[in-house]
Amino acid sequence: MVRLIKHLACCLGLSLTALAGSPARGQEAVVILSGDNHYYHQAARTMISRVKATAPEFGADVRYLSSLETVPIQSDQLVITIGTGATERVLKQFPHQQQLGLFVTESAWRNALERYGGTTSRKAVIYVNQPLRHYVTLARMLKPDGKIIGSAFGSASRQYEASLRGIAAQEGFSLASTTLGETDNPVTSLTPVMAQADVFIAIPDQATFNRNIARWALYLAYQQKIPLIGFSQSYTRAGALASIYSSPDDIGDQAGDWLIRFYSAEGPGTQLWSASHPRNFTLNINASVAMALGYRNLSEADLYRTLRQRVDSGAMSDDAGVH
Amino acid sequence: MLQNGSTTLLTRLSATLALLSVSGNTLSHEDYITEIDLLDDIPVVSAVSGFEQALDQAPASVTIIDRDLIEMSGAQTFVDIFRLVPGFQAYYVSANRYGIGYHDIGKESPNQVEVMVDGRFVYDALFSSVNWGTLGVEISDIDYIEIVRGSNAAAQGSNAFRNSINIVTRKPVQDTGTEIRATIGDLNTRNGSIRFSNRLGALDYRLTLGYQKNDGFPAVPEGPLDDGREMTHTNMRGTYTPTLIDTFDIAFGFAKDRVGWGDADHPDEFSLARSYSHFESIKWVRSTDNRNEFSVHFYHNKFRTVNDADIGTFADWLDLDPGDADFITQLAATSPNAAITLARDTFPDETLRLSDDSILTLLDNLDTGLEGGLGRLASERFDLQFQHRFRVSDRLRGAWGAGARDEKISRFREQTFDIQVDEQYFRLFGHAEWWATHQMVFNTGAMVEDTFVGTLISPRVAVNYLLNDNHMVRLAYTEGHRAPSLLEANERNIGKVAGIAYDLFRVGDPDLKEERVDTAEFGYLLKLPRYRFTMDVRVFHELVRDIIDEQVIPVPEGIQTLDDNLKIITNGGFWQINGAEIQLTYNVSPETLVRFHYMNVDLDRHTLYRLDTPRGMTRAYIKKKQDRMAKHSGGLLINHRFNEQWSASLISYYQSDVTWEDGNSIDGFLRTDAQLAYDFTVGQHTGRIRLIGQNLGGDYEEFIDNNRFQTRVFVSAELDLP
Repeated sequence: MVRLIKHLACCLGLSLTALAGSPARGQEAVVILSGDNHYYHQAARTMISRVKATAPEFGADVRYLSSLETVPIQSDQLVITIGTGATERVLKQFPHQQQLGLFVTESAWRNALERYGGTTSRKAVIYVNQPLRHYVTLARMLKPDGKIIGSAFGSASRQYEASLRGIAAQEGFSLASTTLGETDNPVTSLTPVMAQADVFIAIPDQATFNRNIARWALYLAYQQKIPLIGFSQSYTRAGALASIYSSPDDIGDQAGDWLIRFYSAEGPGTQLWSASHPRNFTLNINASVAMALGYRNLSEADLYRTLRQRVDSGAMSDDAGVH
Repeated sequence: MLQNGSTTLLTRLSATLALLSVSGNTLSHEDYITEIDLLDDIPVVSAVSGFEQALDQAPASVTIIDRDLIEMSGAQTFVDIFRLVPGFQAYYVSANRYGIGYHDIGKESPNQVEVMVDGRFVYDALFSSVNWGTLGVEISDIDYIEIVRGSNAAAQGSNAFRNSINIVTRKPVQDTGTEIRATIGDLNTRNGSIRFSNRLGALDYRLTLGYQKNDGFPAVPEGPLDDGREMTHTNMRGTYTPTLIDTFDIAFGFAKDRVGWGDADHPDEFSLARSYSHFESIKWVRSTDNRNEFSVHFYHNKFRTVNDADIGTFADWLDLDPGDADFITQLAATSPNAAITLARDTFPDETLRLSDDSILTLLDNLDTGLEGGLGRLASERFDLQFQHRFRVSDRLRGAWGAGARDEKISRFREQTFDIQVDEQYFRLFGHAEWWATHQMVFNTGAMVEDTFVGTLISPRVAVNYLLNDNHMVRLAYTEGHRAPSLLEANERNIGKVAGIAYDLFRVGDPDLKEERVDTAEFGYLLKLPRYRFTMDVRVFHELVRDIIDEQVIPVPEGIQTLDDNLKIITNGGFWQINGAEIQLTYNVSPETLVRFHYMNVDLDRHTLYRLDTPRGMTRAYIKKKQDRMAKHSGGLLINHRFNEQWSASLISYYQSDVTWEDGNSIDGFLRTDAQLAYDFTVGQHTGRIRLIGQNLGGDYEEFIDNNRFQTRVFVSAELDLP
């Protein structure tokens, strides 16, 4: 029954998404969604709308990964993969295909390249995760006199501890952190970190870690009256002072721009085939938390504008990302 | 032996959960992160469906009253707090007894609302209601209160028939150090509390001691109202997180309450009720992965109260003066037939159902002392619940669980009642949320309960349509069932002298069955984050049937009693309620909050009365009571922070004319409160001093005419020691 409902939902979702595109010779891309997640659909919709605004003849054949075997893919056709599942599968099955990967984290992409021995030739990726520098810059804006950033790492994120420490140092912060495994007590591990920190940055790890660490980090941050910076809208909703993330629209818009350049008269240049962090991002704040922490005049728009200016003027190219 | 057994059971349960977690973790990956990890939900709490939902996804209208709002409102009691919620009738039955109900009709003990404190149900079968006085919760310990407006029986069972309230206290890790609070003011109010939060090994705990004392409502011309209170309570809540995926929540508490119990219509009848309650609770939550969370919750509540009121002798009850009583007693001893004739002539109606022997027995006992009041009451509950929250996909998630409960009540007063009941209940529930499209979400679920009146099924279905990020509309249908409380079903409150009934106070109908409510609602939620504005509208149509109500019927033939009427608790009520509620919150600026709520309601209430005629015929008639709910009620709160130190609030509450079911006809009133707060820091210590003025206008009545609510002024001080 559940499978039937899911199938119906998939068909409905696909129909709505596919309506956005009408195939045209030479400018038809195949879009493969990893699954039936609403953010995959939203990113695809935004991307297609963006392209069609300047190239009405553009068409997109939107399919689910589960039906990949039935999709006729021409060797010179562009395949846009949304999500890790689709990106990995196309990389493995069509290693020489022109491919644009969306909604993929940096660590998932690197892992896929390592596992399937693919090359980055004719492959482009817009990561979903943000550069670490964004978080550290925001931390500095929220805590101009802050000295210590607190953070916690899990098994997947601990490899980025050194990067965060380095970027924090460039902003004049030192890092107080802890690494937790599944058998560690989160409260006793986080307490000394929170006690030292002026601001806490939540580093994404695997979902189980994120969910279980978040509640204690939020409680302890609130207890210590220090701001916590999260990495998703739900983090802000749950009690983070601010979060930075790329929304499906952010990703879709940027992918649309990429496609316009790809299909432009000059044709796909080699500079397009690269993997990079998203240019567009969203910053949102939790007004209740802001008031509780004494940020009386914290404007989301102003904060975003300032952060945008700072990260645009910074050297983004050498930046390490969060996975 | 017990320890070994428990350990084995826990080990087995743990192993089972571990197996379940492995089977559920289908997307396991060791050393990299995917977009699923990045975009996964971070939990926010909700009691609507048993799993976390944003307000625009929930199948019901929900009001959240958080700690900040409680502080801003200057609330001193739960009545003050629930007057912040649209649709609530909150009133002072007496100074320290609160009636809190949703779309209710003003009973002394509103019986259709379930209350949870940190997941522990506190509805008491003795009162068929919640005894707010012995909750043992310090208002300053509350983190937030989640109020589901509308029947929530589908999620929380029978007692959440009309709505449910989830009081969530602060987790021990949220605070550190010591907090001292003291409030003094009118009614000779002397309240104080000390909260200490610390860590013992891996256990974070919070220990609270509280004390409340006041003299109650001021005296009336007929005499003083002895409805004051002296209450002490203590509770502990601990959180133990042995691993990243396991959390144990442990809590226990004790409360001792001495409160004046009675009816302000009869000031001379107030008597002291001494109550004691304690609870113990342990909950284990295991979040195995981002798709599964399991919990097991066991708790125990125990409550007892003693309230014996000396109401004089049997002669007093008959309104005989002492001289007449002595004469009749002597007459009965010397000339029984003359005494019987005299009794029949003096009390023709009352003695109609009595034999000559019974009359003589009563006359021999005119000097027998009678007792009123509640008597000796006790209730006890053991409850065990297992719950599994799951997520099948990004579009489909839910929760299911099962629970068992053992509930006991006892009530005793010599010559009046001796009730001892022990019942077991079992429940099975499930809820699911399905995103049909990225804008449309369906919620459905049901609760199946095995009770002493049969198997009750309470389903709910709702569809929410998100027009965009700002607008949501919802259509929902709920069917709720409420089993009678143990007291309602087993009530036999009969006053006797020498074994002969002189007053049939109240008797439960042996054929009592469950109540039923059908609710259809339309909801609209507007969120304008840019303007920090939210508005929640609920338009509802509720049909409540087979309502358990008190009916007065003539005493059936063959029963020997002085009384000519019998109060019977039976299913006779029918209510149809139509109306709308609105609640809006507007943060005009970071310094200024405006919050408004309003309800307009039409009650169409009928009670079916049965009348057994002397000829053996049963006649039915319907009595209409349309005025039992205030047609208009609402409130406005404005809070402004002037600077880091000073802030002020203005709070108004309006209620139109109403005739409370167990109270009096009360004129509409507008009550205005104000609060001035000063926050300070001394070294590492922070504190706050508040000056609170309640009802700054003229006096008004609460529930009963004699409950005069005059202007009250309180000063409250709070000091945090890190």
